[in-house]
Amino acid sequence: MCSEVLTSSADGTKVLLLGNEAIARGAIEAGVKVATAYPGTPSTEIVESLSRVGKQLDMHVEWSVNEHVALEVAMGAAQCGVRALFATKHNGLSAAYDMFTHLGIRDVTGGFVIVTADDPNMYSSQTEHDTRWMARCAGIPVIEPSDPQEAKDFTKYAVEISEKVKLPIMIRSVTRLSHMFSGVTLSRIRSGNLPAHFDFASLSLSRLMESGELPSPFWNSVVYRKLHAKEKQVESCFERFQGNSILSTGKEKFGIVASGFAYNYVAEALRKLALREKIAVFKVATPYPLPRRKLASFLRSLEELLVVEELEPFIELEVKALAKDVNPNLKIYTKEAGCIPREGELSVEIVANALARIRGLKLPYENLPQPSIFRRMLVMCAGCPHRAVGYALNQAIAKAAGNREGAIVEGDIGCYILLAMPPFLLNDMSFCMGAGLSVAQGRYHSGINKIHVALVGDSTFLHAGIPGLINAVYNSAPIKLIILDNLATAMTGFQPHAGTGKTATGDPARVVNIEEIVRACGVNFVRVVDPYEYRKTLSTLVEMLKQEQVAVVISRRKCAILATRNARSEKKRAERYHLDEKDCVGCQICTKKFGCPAIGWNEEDKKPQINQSACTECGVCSQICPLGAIKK
Amino acid sequence: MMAMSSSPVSIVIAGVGGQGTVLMANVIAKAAINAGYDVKGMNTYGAAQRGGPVSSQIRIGNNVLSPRIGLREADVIVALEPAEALRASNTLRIGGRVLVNTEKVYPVEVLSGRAEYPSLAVVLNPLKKISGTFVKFNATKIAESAGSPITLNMVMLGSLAAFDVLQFSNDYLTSILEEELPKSVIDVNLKAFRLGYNFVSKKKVKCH
Repeated sequence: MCSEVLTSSADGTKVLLLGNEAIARGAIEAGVKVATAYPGTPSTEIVESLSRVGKQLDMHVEWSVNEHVALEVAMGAAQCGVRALFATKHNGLSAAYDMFTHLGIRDVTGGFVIVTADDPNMYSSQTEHDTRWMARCAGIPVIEPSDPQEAKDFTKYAVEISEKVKLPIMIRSVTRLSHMFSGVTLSRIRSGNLPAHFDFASLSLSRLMESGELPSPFWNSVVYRKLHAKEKQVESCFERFQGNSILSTGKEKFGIVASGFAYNYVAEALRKLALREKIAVFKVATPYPLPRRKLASFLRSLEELLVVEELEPFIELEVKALAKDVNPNLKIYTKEAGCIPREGELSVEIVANALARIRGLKLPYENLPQPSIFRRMLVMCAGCPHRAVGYALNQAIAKAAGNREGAIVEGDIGCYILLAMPPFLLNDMSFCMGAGLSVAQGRYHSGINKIHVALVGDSTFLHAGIPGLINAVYNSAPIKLIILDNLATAMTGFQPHAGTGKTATGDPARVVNIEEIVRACGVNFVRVVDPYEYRKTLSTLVEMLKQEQVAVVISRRKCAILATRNARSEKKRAERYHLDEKDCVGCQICTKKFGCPAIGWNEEDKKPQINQSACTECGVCSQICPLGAIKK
Repeated sequence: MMAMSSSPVSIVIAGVGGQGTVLMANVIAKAAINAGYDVKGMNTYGAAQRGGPVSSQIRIGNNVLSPRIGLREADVIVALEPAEALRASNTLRIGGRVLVNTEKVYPVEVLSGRAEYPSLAVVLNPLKKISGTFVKFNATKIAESAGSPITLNMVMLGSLAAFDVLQFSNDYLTSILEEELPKSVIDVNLKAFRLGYNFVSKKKVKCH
């Protein structure tokens, strides 16, 4: 999408936006001046879009080193009367959660919107937890849009309410909304900056103590009484919010409460089953706090109710509690009873099947099995430096540990998670960012007498790896860490980070040197290798695995996609590799063990075939070929 | 053009990472907005990685409820790769239309001998059986003749434009291409679009 659309002042024009772009536009319309994030699918495009127009709009946009820092930076701004946005995927909210629980008990003076993009079905995540619980636990109100128009409008509304109540507000998206596109009618961009101002009298800890408002620097539960009063204030705003609405009254005493993206499934399911005129739908845009007064009058009009929401029965439990007071005889079809699944993503069919079951209707379609066809697994790109170091690591483990199970390899979540797949089968575990190198220490201390290897990316090391590395040195856990430095946050689309020398908005930045950090953590064995130099990489890895101390190898080579892009723009193309058929015996090491997508298999000749348009000339296959049959 | 008033036209575009399905969907959606229609759609791509299946769903009409196309709801499947046509086949309504590129893209599982790519007939027959109009052709070859295999998505877009499905004229599509593509590649893309268009219109695909 072009940047002009995001900054267009054309009030009332309809443009095509992704859900994430719509959230970015909402922030722009609301006058947000500080926006922070760490990249994470499905949330990345929010701050990425803003990064393209930040300078033009006099907005500070940054890729922060991690979500915790990103949230803190944004909160710092929001307490200075500046409107701010922090965007993250659900996992990132966990990384930022310590700070998150402090937000509600402090005032903001500029509107502050936090956007989380949950990932039901875990399309690109290791968990699918529901961040609405996290928000509720911290007293942060939640708004759930159902399409890009609402995503834009509700983001703007969230900033307004936040500023009014002095409380950050969370927008909860899900993958489908973030990656959905539709026409969005633009509104006016709020003009005029609030002057940045830090109000010592109402915010300064020492001033508050001096004035007697706080008895000690540890605050006290007065702040929670204030938060709970804000919750009531927000609820009364939400009662009047048009996003919470009864969309059809329905002739029957059967109703549906639907929230966020799940509303789309309900609308389609009712159409499919020809129930649109019969069933009343309450569309909830604010799962927390719920507009209980409005909802109560809806519940009173019904005999039966189905709540449709993605993941947890978050609204459902609240509705049950409310029904006990206002309509105790209401029959509620619950997630607990299995009416709507609590796991994974919903679909039109899931909702329609549930409705058909409950109401004894015949489905107007046949539930079809998935067609049988091979899986198309994700693969590392041709020339990926991770493939080269992964291949070398498998060989090095065989040499240093005797067999594969002589080592436990803790993975992480960047592109190198693909090393868990065939033909590498390398990663034994993957938790959250940075967990691998600490988990490895626990395995060591438990007495497992194996080599404890951890893989971490460059961006991930800077994000969450450093404390774990210090811990390994401090508590003497001789883990072997490989930092797969491809000079980008590649998995999410090549965003720059502190090690790349560039900021989100394209300005030059000082390069934070990873090997200097590693040495400063107290690691004595630190080596930097180029994974395209196969033999040196292999011997360095073997040497590392044999160390009895904490040892770190940094495998550094620019992401092949970025490198190819650069080469294309400079019109540079090196000579390509080809197979010398007379030297090839068809051993299939290059195809079956290395698995580069640029190397195919010719079934007739029983020989590999190098796809010239895919080959990036990394040359690693020519180094691993035992007969040297792949030549330049 | 397809006779339709209130119910939206539902289009599924299926391909693999790197084939340009997302761009293609984007062009159709923008053109539809310019033509005054309501559009909702979505792209399905997991992590930003290559080699996996990528599909887009688009609904165009006067009032579109949701972007997700369910079982047997698509009016047309445009597949940039034959196996992906099969993967998307449950979405096609009985009697719907299919446009499929016959050029296979082998996954690593097949390249490395761990899985087999079935014959074209096996892959395409299920769709052929339920579709009303079925057009298969080697669109990659046409893209090559336009000047670059990466214009495959434009060949498919052009052929869709000739397929009597969209509610608006081709000018809306080509003007989006002219606005959004870098100047240096506009000609080759428009050529690919035209070749795709001509290929399908010559087949005189009739509207049901």
